[in-house]
Amino acid sequence: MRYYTRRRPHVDRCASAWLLKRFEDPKAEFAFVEEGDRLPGAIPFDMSGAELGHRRGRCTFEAILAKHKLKDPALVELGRIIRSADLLDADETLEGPGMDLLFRGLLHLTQDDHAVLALAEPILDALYAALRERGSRRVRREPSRRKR
Amino acid sequence: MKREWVLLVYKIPSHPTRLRAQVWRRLQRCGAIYLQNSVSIVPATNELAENMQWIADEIREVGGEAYVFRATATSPEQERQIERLFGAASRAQAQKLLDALPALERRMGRTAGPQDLEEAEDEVRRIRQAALKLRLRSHFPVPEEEALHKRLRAMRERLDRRALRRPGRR
Repeated sequence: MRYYTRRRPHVDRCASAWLLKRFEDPKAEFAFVEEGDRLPGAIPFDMSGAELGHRRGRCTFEAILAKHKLKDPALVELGRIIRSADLLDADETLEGPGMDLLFRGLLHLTQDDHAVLALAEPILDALYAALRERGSRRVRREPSRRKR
Repeated sequence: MKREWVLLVYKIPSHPTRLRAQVWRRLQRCGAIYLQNSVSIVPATNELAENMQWIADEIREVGGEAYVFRATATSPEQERQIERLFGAASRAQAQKLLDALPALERRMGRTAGPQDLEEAEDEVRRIRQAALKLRLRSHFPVPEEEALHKRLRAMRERLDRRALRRPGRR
C-alpha cells in the first residue's frame, strides 16, 4: 500500500511510518507532499482532516493503533510517548520531551525525507525493544515482591 | 532579520466550559501567549506551526471557528514588542516559582527536623519539575529562569548534605 504525509517528518510521522511498515504492511511505501496536497490511490496520514490524524487529543500513531486494533502494551506505551513528544505535553510521559528534541535533530541531518524515515527506524526499533523489556520486567516483579 | 510568527485566532462554543480550558492548556504547552482574547501567537518553528494547526482542527471539530496565519510584524519595534511579551510571560512564570523559595528555605533552616527536610525535598523536586517544563516552552529565555535553576540546584545540594549528616537515614 502507498501512504503519504507532509514533508519534513517530525516524530509522529516518523513513528507512524515505522508502525505501518513493521506491524501492518512490510511493503508499505511512503511519499511526501506539501500541506493540503492529495495523492490519489494512496492513504494520507498525519494530515489535516485525515482519518489517520489527530483526534480528540490523541496523535496519529495512536489513531493507527486504534484503526488496526494493535493492542501490544509496548506499542500503546510508545504511543503515549509519541503523543507527549508531538503535542509538547511534558505531563504525559517523562520520555516525550527528549524524543521531541531527538527527532527535531534528525531533520537537521538530511534534507531527504526518506532518509529521515530510515534514520528513525533503528531508534524506534530500540525504543520498542526497551519498552517491551520494561513491560516484561514489571509483570515478573510483582509476585516476588508479595512473597517477601 | 524578520521573525515569522504563527497566529491562531479562534472562537469556541461557551459550553461546555472545559473546551475553552482544554485549548488554553494546549496553547500553554506550546509556550503560546495571547495578544488579545482568543488571539494567540508562537514563533513559526515547524513543530509549533504544526501544533497550532492541530489545535485549530480540534477547535473546529467541537464546533468552533479557528484561523491560523503566518505573519511578520510590519516594524522592528512591533517585533521587539512581541518578543518582550514572550519574555514577560516567561518572567512571570519563573517569578511565581522563585517566590515560593524563601518560605521553603526557611523551612530547611537549622531547626528543621527529618520530617521537615523530607517535605522540603519533595517540594524542591516539585518546583524543579515545573521549572524544567517552563524551560521546554520558553521561546525567549529570561535571566529569572537561570536564577531559578541555580537556586534550586543550591537547595538540592544543601538538602543532600544535610541528609548525609543524618545518621540512619539513606
